[in-house]
Amino acid sequence: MSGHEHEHPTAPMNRRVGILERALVSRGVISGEQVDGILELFGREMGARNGARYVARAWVDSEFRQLLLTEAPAVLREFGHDLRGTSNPELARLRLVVVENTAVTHNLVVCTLCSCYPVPLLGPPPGWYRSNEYRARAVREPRAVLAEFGLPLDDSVRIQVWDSTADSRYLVLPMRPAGTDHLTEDQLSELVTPQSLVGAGIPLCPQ
Amino acid sequence: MTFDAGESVRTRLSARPGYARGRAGTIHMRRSAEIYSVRFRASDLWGEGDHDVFLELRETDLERA
Repeated sequence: MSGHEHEHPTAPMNRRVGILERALVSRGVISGEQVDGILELFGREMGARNGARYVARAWVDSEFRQLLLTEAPAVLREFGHDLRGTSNPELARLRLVVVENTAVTHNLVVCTLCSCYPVPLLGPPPGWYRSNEYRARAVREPRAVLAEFGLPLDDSVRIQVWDSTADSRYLVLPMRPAGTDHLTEDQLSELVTPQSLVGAGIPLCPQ
Repeated sequence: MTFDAGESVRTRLSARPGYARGRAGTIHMRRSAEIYSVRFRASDLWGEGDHDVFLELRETDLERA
């Protein structure tokens, strides 16, 4: 052969990715530093605590909440992925739609075609979100899926499922837990779980 | 062809995902020049269920019902 590395297609994913990375680096397509930078961006800077900060701010600031519900992309451009003005190229491309849970409406996010997810605000999607089972069932029987997530909803609560097609990504604004009037915005953000940001859970109750 | 919020539509066979092909829905809102958020009743998609499913579809995937 001509010096190329060959692996059987069933080789473990991390080995296949490693071979691909070495091939791209050796041909000068990408550099190791670029790969490290992207891993750092997705692994550390983009995480669900960003989305949690947005939710906590919306809970304490009704004007901010209204803007987030109606003009989320503009809010993101102003406040960055961390609510502190830090932006990144992924964020600039994010067409975010924020949907609000109420006492009578619960929103659930899925991507039936693949695993679209508001990555700059939540980080890479978790395994359950990418699973065939969740993608197939969330649009068809969301009430049963939510019950299995430990969230049995009253029959009077209407469920809205947002299937991420086209370019929009969805973020759920969960309801603020009761008994949190005394908490600061930072303390509130710690109650916001990653699952609650796509409607597959609700925020924690304060201790 | 443009659509207004609240208007009844039907998806063409070009619509994706497949479960939403040839189905009745309602325009939720216009997202951009070509993209609409469309609401479907679960009963119109699956023949059962009491929830709604929202999809973003291209104008060319929609026709008036």
